[in-house]
Amino acid sequence: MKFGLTLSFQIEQNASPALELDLRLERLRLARDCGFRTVSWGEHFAIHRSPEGPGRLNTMLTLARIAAESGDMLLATAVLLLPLHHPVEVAEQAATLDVLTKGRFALGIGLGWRDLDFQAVGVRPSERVSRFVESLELIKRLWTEDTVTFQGKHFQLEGVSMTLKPIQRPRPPIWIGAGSLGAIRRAARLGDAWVVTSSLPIPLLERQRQVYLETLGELGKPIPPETIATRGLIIGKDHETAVRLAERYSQRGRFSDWGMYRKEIEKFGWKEEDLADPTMVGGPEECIEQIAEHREKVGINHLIFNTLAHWPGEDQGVALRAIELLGSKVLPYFREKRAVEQK
Amino acid sequence: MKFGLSLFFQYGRHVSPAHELELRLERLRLARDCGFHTASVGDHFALERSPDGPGRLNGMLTLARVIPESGDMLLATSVLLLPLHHPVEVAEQAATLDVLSNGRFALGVGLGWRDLDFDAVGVPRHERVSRFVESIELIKRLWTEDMVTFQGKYFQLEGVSMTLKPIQHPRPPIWIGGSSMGAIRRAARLGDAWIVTAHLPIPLIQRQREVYLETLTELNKPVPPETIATRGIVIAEDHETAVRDAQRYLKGARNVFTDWGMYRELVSFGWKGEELTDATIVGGPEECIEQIAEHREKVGINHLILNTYWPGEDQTRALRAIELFGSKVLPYFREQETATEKSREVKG
Repeated sequence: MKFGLTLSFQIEQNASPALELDLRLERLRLARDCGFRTVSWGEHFAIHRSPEGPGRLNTMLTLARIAAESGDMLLATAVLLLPLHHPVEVAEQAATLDVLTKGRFALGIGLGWRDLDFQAVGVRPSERVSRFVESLELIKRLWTEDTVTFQGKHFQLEGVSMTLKPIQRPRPPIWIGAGSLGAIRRAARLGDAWVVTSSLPIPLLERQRQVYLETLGELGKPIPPETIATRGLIIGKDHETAVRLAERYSQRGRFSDWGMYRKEIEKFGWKEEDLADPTMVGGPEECIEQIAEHREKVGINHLIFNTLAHWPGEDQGVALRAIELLGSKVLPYFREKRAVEQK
Repeated sequence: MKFGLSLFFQYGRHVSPAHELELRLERLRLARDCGFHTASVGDHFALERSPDGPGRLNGMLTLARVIPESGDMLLATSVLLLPLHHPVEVAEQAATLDVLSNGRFALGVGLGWRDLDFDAVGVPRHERVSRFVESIELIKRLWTEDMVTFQGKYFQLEGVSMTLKPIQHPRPPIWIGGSSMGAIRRAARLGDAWIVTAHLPIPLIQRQREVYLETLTELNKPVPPETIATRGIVIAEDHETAVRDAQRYLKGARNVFTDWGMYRELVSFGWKGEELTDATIVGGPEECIEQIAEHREKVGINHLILNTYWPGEDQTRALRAIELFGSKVLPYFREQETATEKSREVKG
């Protein structure tokens, strides 16, 4: 069982991005010292319809910035929105990150969904899947082949060599984020691992995992050793503390409001109330139970926590206590369990 | 007079880029402690026609990586090849670097020239100038305006706001590199400063500077306070050692760099490989001071980024060179400035 922390953040109107980053560096150092394996960063463009919209730091640059303080942790994008970028740039930046971290980078990728992101770079949303598939193939080839000729619908290369090769051999792992049926099938077909969506509860994820396993079976592919997920977690020293903290965060919008999962709702007969907020809440033992449930029912064994400390400044104490609690009460449980299993 | 260190490096097939980066970080820390003002990176895609071509790290990510080791130094791209990227991404990445460095970023940009780079991203080379001009306008507006609507030939935005603003006000400086008449005129018209192309000898730069100053006058623009250039330097304790080192390194470099195709663009100006020696600062400390002063007097270069990258040179020598420069050359120009300021105070 591997554990990580997601640290990407939105910069609210009057917040200082530099201060916000410092707070997250403090969390990173604590997580590193507590034995967390992974730190991940998400992506959206800092483009909004209003100047009051939240800002964001560029994903790849920020990972390069934090690399020096990450110890031996894995640095991952979860997820980079592949159709919004040129695959040559992604291949090069990802290879650079792999070199900067001496082989500690994983490229998590997704399709993207926000119209404004696509408009910002002049890419048609209707082309996102075909761009995604072409980009992925091109990146793999640039990383692993001496000379590449590629005649795609969107991208063409003629006899070129990417001379910056990643450190990891044969190449860094490629994780595919997927919450829709098509994406899950692509994750099985094209990825080294599936990044489970953070926004669905376990019963629905179980159905998705079936699709994932079926597709692997159809393709004659082995089940990858890892399945990754980013999940919300609110941990307190006991149940009551956790519930009290959870009340502060309970106003997250539902993804169903944004029109996602329509196909799934039709195909599987999901109802609005099934799409409950899947954030884990509890004291250490409860969290251990819920984490174990994720592993048993959905096969998630690389769990990246979003400790939901969104608000600038004031929640640093909450975030640090959560990391400490996880590090002292939760991570050791799974470490010891594994040691016993190995014996 | 400001001095910088170029972090740019290329590496051959059997070299570890991670190890090379560590060596350059060591040089950066020394340069920082010696009072160098700036650290810069270049930008080309790490694409070649052969797997034996040189590798290089992404420039912007390298700058982000060195932020913790850079102290108060200015971090600059010299140059980012603007037509090869989407201006929204450039605006966002540059704003990110400015934020991550607490307001210490300068965006140096150029047109690009290598067919391979343009082909790789599917941008027609003949569109590079108009894309360049549109991109600069869009980047400036995204950085400084609340809402942007932009209907360009290549880029269109409708009522959007870039919500990550740089720290510097009104915005980070934009330096424009260029050698052709058109590029120099654009540097005068659109840039905050001109970056003189590396490797060119002074007489050629003098002619370019005339065009630059004329254009500024035509546009009624003041002469910017800085003109930037990157120059190779081979500095040693004394003349004999420097010349010996230069013969060894420059010849090797010329061969390696020529193999790597670095000078093809300059051949169009009738430039020959041997002139690399003319364009490199070589000598003991006093000679270097003279040559640097000549650059300032004759062509107005007062922000000099030093390229100390010589294939085959070892780390010890590279560090010694930075130390020599920091202890014997930098103080000369610093004292000059202090003296000039004092005499101004007295007069005022």
